[in-house]
Amino acid sequence: MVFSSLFFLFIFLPLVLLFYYAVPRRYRNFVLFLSSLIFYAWGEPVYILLMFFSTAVNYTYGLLLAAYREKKNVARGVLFSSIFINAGLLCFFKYGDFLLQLINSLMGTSLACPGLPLPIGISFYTFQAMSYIIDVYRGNAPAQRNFIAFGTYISLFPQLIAGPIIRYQTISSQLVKRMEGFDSFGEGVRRFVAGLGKKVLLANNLGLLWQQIQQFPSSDLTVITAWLGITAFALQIYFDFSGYSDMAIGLGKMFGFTFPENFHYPYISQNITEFWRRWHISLGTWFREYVYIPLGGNRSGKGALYRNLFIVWFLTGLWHGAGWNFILWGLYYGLILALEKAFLLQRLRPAPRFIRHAYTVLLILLGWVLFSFDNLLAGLQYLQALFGLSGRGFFDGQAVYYCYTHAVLIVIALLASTPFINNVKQKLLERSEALYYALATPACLSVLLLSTAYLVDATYNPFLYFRF
Amino acid sequence: MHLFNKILTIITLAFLAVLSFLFVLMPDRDFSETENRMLQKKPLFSWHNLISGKFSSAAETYLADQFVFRDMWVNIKSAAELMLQKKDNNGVYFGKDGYLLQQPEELNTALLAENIAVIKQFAESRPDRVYFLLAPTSVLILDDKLPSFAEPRQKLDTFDMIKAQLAPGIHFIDTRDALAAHREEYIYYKTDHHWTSRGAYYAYREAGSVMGFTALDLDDFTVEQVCDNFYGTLYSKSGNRFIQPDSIRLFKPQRELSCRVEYVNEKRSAGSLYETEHLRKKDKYSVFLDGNHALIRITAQNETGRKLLIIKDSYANTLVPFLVNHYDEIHIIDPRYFNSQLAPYIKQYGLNEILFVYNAFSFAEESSIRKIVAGVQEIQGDGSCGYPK
Repeated sequence: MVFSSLFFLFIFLPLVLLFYYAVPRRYRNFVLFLSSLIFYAWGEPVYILLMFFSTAVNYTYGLLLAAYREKKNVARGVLFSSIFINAGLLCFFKYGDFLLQLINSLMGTSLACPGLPLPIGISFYTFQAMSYIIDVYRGNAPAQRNFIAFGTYISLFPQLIAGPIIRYQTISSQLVKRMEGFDSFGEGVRRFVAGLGKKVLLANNLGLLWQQIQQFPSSDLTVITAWLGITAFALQIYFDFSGYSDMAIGLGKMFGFTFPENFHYPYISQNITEFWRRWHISLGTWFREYVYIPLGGNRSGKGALYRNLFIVWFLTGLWHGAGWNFILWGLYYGLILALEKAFLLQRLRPAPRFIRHAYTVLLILLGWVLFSFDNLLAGLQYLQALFGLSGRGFFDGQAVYYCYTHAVLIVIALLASTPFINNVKQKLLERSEALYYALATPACLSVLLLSTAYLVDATYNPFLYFRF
Repeated sequence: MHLFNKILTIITLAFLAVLSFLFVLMPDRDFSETENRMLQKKPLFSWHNLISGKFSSAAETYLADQFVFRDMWVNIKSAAELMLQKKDNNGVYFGKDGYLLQQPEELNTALLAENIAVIKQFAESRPDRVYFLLAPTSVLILDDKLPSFAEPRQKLDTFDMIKAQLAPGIHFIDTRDALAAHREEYIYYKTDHHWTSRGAYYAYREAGSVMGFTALDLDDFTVEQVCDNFYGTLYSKSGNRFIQPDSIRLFKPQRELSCRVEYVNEKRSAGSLYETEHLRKKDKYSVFLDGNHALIRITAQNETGRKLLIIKDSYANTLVPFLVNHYDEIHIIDPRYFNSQLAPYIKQYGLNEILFVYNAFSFAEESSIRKIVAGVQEIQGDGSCGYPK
């Protein structure tokens, strides 16, 4: 099930809220756990077994870690075997075909690929499970003895499918004790609706534009059309992903949770280092906490620093999908970040603001070209079109048509990707809280209505993040 | 602000709850007229369906299809799209002067080539006169009605290509110039993918010069407007709800003409080419010859001694009322529904003029022509080797 569906909004969510608030507090985790399982099983019922397995294994490992705290060697063994199982599941289901194809092409074998569908959210809940094990091992959080509470953490439906990836230590206390109420609920509704609007009104429509432009052979694209297309994709992926995070955070609020933020206006960044502090923050934090720092981070010399950057960004790329383009995309960022660390940040500092911004946006957009074409050759051809090497000129009638029929959408989207609306909100709040709420409430309800209209009409509601 | 949060919480919850209650209470609809399709019925629960995931996907479609005030939501979305200055949706352009124009699909070149080959072979293997009328759709003729700078994928060169390939052996009726000369008139419906009777009239006049009959003048017809609230297929497909409806006009010859229309498979016949009860339904274009049938046989007392077989899509339905003035018999076969073989039929009725009528897009997507013409080849093959003549 996805949040941006009528079934979720008008059947699942009202029922879950009803049960959640109807039962005494001590049963609320159970309601959440059960509804998360239903949520998960809705699309692919069979993989519920996988999630049960993962939950049970990690729960047991957590208890083992707690029991063998004192015996470092045993605890270490438990830790590694748990990581092996978690990473193994992820490898098998997500990278199985990719690895087999790689082996086939390297060894000349012809092993059959099982072609299993990717279990929804596996990239997210596996990472959460690993964070639990590592946090418990390090003593950053106590082992969870309550199976329901632990199951709730692993399967929590608001962030099950597309994050944010919540580290266990940041949420362990909320699993036991959290405060629900009108204020957090109202805030949750506003946040959820903002995310819904981002996804349904902006991302889906931008996606339609990208889909139209992408279907042409790159050799038919003029420079303007190509830039319009990749801009649409950049905005689509941002609103799709951050919209989903907003919905998750909003839903969390409705149930009394406070999830960490996942996006912070990434497209206003002044350099790539800053971009990755603003983009998919929970993934970046995960890799920093559980890979980069354990590897020694930047404290064991230059050579180790670059090796660690390489490992982290190879993994970050790979995490996004089982394909060479994703690995290349990750390494592309690894390289830029290494360069920025080495000298580029220093050099950029005196440059005017718009130069730094242009540098960042250009690199991000080129990155999205790598990201969006599984076929590297097709990606290269698109790059050619971007730089006018397709031979179709700067613009043509088609470019004009796409521009003027999407100008309003693009302008709204660009505005929404900056802190503009948030600034207005702050200004209003300074002037009068009542005024802000008096405006925000009808605005929120209008977005909800409009999103419902688009969902009812939608024959087009693909969800991009199932691949991750 | 506690009060506002309370209000927002209550309104949102009420909104979700009321809509889902109404969904449960309201009776299900079977068919959406505006969308022109069957709606999903309540899915049947079984463990098998649940485990395979069929149940959940059917349940989601069911909810979306039966959602309360569905048409109102579609209207809201349509208004929002117009405000965004969108000029097309779902493969339909929102053209100038209230015209909706169909954006051509990606051309199925393989199927097109096969259709051309099959028809050529058919024409070469027969002594009859074979005509082909490739009807241009509105996007080809009314390109001035397209939104500014819109560039539909399929261009006129496809039309020329089909014409060039069919031309030897087949009498090709090119109606483009005739229609383009009258582009300011009401020759295409604004909300439907068909031509109007007036459009068909100009095509008919062009056909007359190729098929060898003297077309009647426009003045020889009485024009009768039979409805002014026709919302056609493009209206449904576009999702644009801010479009004026079309009117349907019938062109009836002033001279006395008695004809009999026989719907063969339905075992029903009528004294008129028009079935006016369709004007009260959604698909008003079916007023012409009752829509699409496998086989319609028309006999008219023209005493010209000529008989015509038409193999066609729905564009022919408006053309036939004009052609009927020049033939004693017209047999109309729609290969999509016709499951018998063509050759024995042609022989049985002594037909010697064959007219194909297709619009420029549907011809490239039509996979059933092959079926009936392949049938012809099979029969001939059997005849030559199996049985002595």
